[in-house]
Amino acid sequence: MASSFFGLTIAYSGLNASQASINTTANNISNVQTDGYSKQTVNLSAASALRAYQRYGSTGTGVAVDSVTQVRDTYYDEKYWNNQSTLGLYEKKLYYMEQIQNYFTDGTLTTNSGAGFSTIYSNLFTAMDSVKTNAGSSSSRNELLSKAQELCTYFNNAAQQLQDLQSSINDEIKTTIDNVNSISKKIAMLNKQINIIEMEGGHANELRDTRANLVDELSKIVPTTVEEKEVKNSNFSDQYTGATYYTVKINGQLLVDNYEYNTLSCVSREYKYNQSDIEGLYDIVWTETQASFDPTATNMSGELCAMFEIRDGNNGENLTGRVTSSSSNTITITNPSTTDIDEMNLPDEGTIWVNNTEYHYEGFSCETDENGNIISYTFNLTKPLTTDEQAGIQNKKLVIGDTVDFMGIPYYMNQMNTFLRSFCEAFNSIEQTGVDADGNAMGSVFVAMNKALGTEYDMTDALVDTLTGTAKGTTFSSDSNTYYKMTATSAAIADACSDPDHFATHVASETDDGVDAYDLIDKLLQLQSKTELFRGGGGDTFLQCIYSDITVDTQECEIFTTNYTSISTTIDNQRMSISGVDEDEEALDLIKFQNAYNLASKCISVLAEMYDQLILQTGV
Amino acid sequence: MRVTNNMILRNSSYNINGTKSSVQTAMNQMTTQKKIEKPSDDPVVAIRSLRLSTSISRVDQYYEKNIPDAESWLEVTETALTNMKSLMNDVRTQCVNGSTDTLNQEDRNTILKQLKALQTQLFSEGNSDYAGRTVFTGYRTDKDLVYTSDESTTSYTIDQNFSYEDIESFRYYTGSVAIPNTADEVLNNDIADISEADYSRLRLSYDKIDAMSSFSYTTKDAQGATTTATVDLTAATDVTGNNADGSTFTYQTATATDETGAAITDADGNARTMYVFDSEEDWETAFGGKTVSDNDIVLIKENGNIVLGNSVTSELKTNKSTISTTYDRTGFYEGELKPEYYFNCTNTTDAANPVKYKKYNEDGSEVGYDINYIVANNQELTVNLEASDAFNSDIQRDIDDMITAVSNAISAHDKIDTLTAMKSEAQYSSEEYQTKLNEWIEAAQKEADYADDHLQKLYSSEIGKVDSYLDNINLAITDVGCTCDQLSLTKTRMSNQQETLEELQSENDNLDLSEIIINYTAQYNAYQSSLTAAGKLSGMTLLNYI
Repeated sequence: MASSFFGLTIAYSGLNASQASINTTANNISNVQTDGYSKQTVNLSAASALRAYQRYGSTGTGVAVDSVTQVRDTYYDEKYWNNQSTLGLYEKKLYYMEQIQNYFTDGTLTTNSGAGFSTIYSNLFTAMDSVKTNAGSSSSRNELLSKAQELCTYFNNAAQQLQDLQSSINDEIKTTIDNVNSISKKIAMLNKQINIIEMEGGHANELRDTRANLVDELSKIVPTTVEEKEVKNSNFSDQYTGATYYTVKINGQLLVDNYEYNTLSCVSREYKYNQSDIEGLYDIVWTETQASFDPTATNMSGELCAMFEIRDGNNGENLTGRVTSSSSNTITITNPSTTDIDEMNLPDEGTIWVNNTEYHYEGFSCETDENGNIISYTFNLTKPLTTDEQAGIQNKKLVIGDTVDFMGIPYYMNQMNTFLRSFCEAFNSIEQTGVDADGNAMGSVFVAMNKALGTEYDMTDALVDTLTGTAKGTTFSSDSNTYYKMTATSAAIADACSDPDHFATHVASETDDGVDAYDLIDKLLQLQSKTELFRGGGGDTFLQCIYSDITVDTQECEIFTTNYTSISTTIDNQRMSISGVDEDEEALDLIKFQNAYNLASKCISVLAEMYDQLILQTGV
Repeated sequence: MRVTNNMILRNSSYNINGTKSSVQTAMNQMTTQKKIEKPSDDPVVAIRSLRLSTSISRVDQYYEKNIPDAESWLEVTETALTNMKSLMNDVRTQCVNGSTDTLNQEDRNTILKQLKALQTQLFSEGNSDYAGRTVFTGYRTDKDLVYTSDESTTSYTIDQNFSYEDIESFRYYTGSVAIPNTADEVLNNDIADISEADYSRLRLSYDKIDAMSSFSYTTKDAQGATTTATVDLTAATDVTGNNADGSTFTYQTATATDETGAAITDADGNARTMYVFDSEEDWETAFGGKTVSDNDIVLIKENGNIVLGNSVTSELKTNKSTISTTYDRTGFYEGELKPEYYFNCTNTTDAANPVKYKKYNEDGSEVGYDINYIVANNQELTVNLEASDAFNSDIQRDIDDMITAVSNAISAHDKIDTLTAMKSEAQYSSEEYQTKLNEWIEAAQKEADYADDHLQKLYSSEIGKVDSYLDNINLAITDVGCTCDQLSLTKTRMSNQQETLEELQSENDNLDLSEIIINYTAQYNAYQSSLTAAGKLSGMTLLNYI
């Protein structure tokens, strides 16, 4: 015979289950706008049947609430995370490329930006043309010199802006690394909490959502892979303990190892990698091992990679060469990748990589051939080499700084330096053949300022004699007064030229040919577009070259940002399609579970009536 | 697929954002009317825009600065030349006046006065300036062409070259009547006999020279080999001569040598000798008349004449020689041309810091001091005209000669007047005096006749010279005119080019307003409808119905 009060228990379980379901629905509805919240469902099952020693064998015991679990498909998470890092890379790059582009934009293009290179450069030559028609007038020469000054100021400002950008990216790298550390710490803590809950048989839904949210964030910064393994009882391999082992790897390197986590730290570079870099750029190392974490390695993506590429990108034009000889304190390389002094971008003291070992130099000297091309570099090392080391590096490839194959800030700096050097050299060498208005021999008009000492480099150690066109010397060093010293930051007009009379329009001549002689101006005018100055073109093509460089990258970033954003939206939609809370669905659930609750209540009241009948009415 | 409310919201916000950014782009285009905002929007447009701006700024410089500048410059030049031409016409008028044979003393005085005035005026036009820049002086636009005041201490060493074609014949007159002042002198003084001699001469561009340091002539034979004969006047020998009144004067002699240093002699073995006299009077005194031997050369420092002996003349002419001289001069007068515009010379006023000037190269070609304005792409225009191209430095010396001739005539006629007046004086009423005075008058008359003859001949030959100078000026005016025409053609071309370039740039950079508005309206409509669609989503879910 069936138990008399059994029905009450069954109905109670129904009430309970409906209550739990309604609660979960309420929770879902409340979290409808919560970021990263996954819809939760109550998993119900028929409670274990009760063995009844009757003909019918067993009897149902009601409903059991097994668990409250979240609806989540990790497959989409993984897809989303993969996409995020590429999106992060392009988004970040685009953001910075647009700034760089903005620094170079010329005012003639749009109404709202100031005068750019092309305007200033053609103004210089317009002023020069006025000097040609009136070479004797100091006001016209003054105009020309002030336009030349404007050109220098333009480059100084552009360099300053790029360096400011470099510095702010550097700061952002620091913040980003702090963020990565805090994320890894949080994930490790969450892993522990989740396991504590889940080993008890529970489901740490909210904690899992939080953890996934953190990985979402992390995956935008660095390429992230996540692995979650169930922990089996080591004695009974088929027994699941409820715990999971959760690891997070960034670009294949372990960041979070279940309850443990690694941190990254920023270390200021002791030596600059590129000549025009600012001081104190950060490199990233693993705090524990001090091993380097290379944010621009192959397969790297994410915002961190974007920041490093923009900050350090030299288009792979850093100096490389092969070691041909070395002594205890010098290394000499030949077949250098940079043979033109105008294109040199190595810092005067820096870092050498050879044989996977880092050395530092505090100066270098170069040997040149008869055309002024550099054939070898000799670096003065800060620390002596052992004989074993000397033997080890022989014939090995040597790299100065870091090869970052992207056109970032160092690349544009170097483009400006290269242009300025060849332009100023051409300009100065024409000027130096002349005499100023007072009949004194003319020196350099464009000089490099030594900001620290307030002195000028007038490039008198020039490799090629301006008068004869032949090579003057066969060596120069990082300290020599050469065009190596001229950079977009240091370019200036010689102090002597603040007097407009100190400007040559005429070659030195033993006769008095008159104030309006302008033969040098004719030669200088050739520099505008006829003399090959920059990347095989005239000076006026400088900005055009820069435009095309910037455009290629910016357009790539724009296109990929759009593409990956739309991919990301799609994946996110799919993810939301699975785990998102739908209000209509929840409303239906409400109706459904309310109904179930009502029915269970009804059962109880029916049973109550039955007991009433049985106990009070029956047999009394 | 399961679709949740948040997905719909997310999607519509994504779409609204898309249309909104299109509206922003269209809005930007509308406010700036530019096609692109940054180079990466369309690098082709951006780079083309850079090129066009550079071209426009160049054309602007040509069209708005260089061409108007050149026009004004040429205008000043033309005005100056026209003025100079009318002055030169005045000189010609005086030549015509002087060449008639019916001149009275008053006419001669008028001619003298006019010529003296013209002599200082003639080149003052050469100092014309455009915005403070002298137009005829090559690159030396800060310097005058002619002296504006007398500069007594300025000194120059001048290299002047001649060709055999510059050798001209000139009449020299020996003797002049010295008016007797006392009765005794009337009776006892010699009455000078005036004689005329015709010699060939070279005339230096300056008179009153201090000294000549070298005189040489070069002959080129058919094979092109040159032979040079030089008179080194720095090694000249001083000779003292005696004046009639007992005072003395000095003159120099030097002999000509060939390249080997050997003396050049004539058939009789006489060395070719150059004599240097301070004045024609010294020459006359030293040689007892203004004569020069066939093989000799005489330099008169006072008037810068180099008188050549007959055989020297024929030798130079036959061999088509070129003659070089180097001489010093101190003191320049108002209206005189500065030597640097015509000759290689050195300003030695400050002996410690001499200033060299170059007008001719070693090979004799002229050094051009052309001021070229770029008036169009690859087109340069010479705006300046150098003085030496428009007016000959000889003009002034011609006027000098004319002044000397007319003043000689005036003084000769004065002498006749004085003697004629003496004749009627009481103290000379005796027969003896009257006869003697008639002799004096006869001599004076002879002098006056020679002077008149010289005047007339000289002036009529000057008409031809002045005409050729006028031709030069006219030619220069025509040249300037042609340049002006060329410039005005270029100006029209540049104006068109400027317009074309601006049009091209506007086509390249700017959007058509109607196009923008249509585009904007379309984008705005899309935005509006996306907003409307999103608005409809709001709120209503099943929850509202339970």
